[in-house]
Amino acid sequence: MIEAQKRRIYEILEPSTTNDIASKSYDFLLTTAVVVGLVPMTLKHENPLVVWIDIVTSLLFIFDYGLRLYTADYKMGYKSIKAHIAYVFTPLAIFDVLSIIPIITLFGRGFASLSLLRPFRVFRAAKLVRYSKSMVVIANVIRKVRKQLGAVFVLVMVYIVISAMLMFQLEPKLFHTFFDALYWATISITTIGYGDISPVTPLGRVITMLSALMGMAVIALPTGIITASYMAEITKKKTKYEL
Amino acid sequence: MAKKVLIHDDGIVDSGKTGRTVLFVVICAVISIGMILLGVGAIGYEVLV
Repeated sequence: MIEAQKRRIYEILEPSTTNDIASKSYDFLLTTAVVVGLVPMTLKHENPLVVWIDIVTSLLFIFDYGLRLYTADYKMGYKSIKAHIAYVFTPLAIFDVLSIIPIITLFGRGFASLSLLRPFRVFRAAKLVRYSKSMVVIANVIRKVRKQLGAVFVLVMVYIVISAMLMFQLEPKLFHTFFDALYWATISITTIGYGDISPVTPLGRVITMLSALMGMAVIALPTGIITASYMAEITKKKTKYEL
Repeated sequence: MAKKVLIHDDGIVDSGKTGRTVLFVVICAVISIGMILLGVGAIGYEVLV
């Protein structure tokens, strides 16, 4: 009896794929909570209604997290306490916890440091991944090519650190701290180029030119990897549907 | 434990599941509408006050 109820709770929590009205209603409730929970991020001034938005959405997210933890054995596919522990460390469960954190600010509105927790509200957007089929496809695609993306990421990081070190030594007057050099290297390699820090020595300019050229290749690489994998996933889905 | 069901005069067996589902859907709808009103209200407050 309890197992049957637990299974039903799991069915309701999971995004609806059938004509299950209860599951569809819960999906709508959670999607609304996520969207409304993000509204405070768009407001500049303190607002009494924001407190109520935080209370209602956070309580809902805590309730949702509790139920997901309770039914984690169904989600993970095996019956054991390990399933509940393993669930806590899944990416979506981590985002669930991060989205609950802003409720702490309600208990200590006087502490300025707690206001730093407010930007954590943005993690609520990650909860929408569950309810969008396209987002699920993109998440699967990224999971499949994570090794290739990781390799590109490491390459970029190494280049940023090396070019920042070189510039930090070549243009000592330009950078107050090494962080400034890292900032310049990141802005240059991504070809954003704000121009707030610009090299003055010929060697510094050569490194900047190299960074800009390297940036084009670095931006194109992950885009190509993700696009190729996404197209493969779409073709696979189409073939499956036609069969 | 034996499952309790209600058998109506016309013979329809009612386990109470439909009623619980309707109640759940109504609760979800009320909370959703309440949250939407809160969101719209918060944006309105920011614009008007």
